[in-house]
Amino acid sequence: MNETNYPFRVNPIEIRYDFDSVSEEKTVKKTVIFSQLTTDLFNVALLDVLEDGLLSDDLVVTNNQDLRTVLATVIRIIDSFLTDFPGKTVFFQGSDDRRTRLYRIVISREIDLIRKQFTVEGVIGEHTESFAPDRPYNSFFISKN
Amino acid sequence: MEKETQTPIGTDATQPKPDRSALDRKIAAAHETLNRLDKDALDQMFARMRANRTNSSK
Repeated sequence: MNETNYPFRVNPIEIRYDFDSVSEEKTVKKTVIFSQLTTDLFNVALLDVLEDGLLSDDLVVTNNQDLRTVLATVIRIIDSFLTDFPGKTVFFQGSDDRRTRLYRIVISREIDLIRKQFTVEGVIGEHTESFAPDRPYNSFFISKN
Repeated sequence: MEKETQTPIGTDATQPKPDRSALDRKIAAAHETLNRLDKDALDQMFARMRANRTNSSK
């Protein structure tokens, strides 16, 4: 193995979970993508999948009247990911203030239940802290206990 | 700097161009947030997470 070799690089790991958002009007294909940021840290993103398989821009708001079900599904997927990959941490932030606020509300509402299985941290400015309801977090970390 | 996008004639001008850029933007934003975070605070956070994992496995 003394031959000259080309330099190479490793691509960050990307893991994708798909599901369908179903209403009487339409079915929207959704995907939740975990993208490796550092060795043990993954960004999680929720996107729509268009008919040609491409990912839609997250500025498109899918109004399929099933937001609670979609968010519940995303939470189950995060749980599944953290179970499949023990020791990893998931990071996420809203693509705008409205979505970030929505995430804060959902986590605040379920925090007692969530804490039984997960550690949730919120980011304010340069600092992180253990998640507390009604704090103005702009992003979040979740790991499985 | 944001890339300029052109909307083909006959398509809905409000419909953003579908591609991977939405995901790439989210990942870039995540890196930006992480780089802004205080490293000690981040280390302490990961330590808290490890401690919770250790406690729950006992």
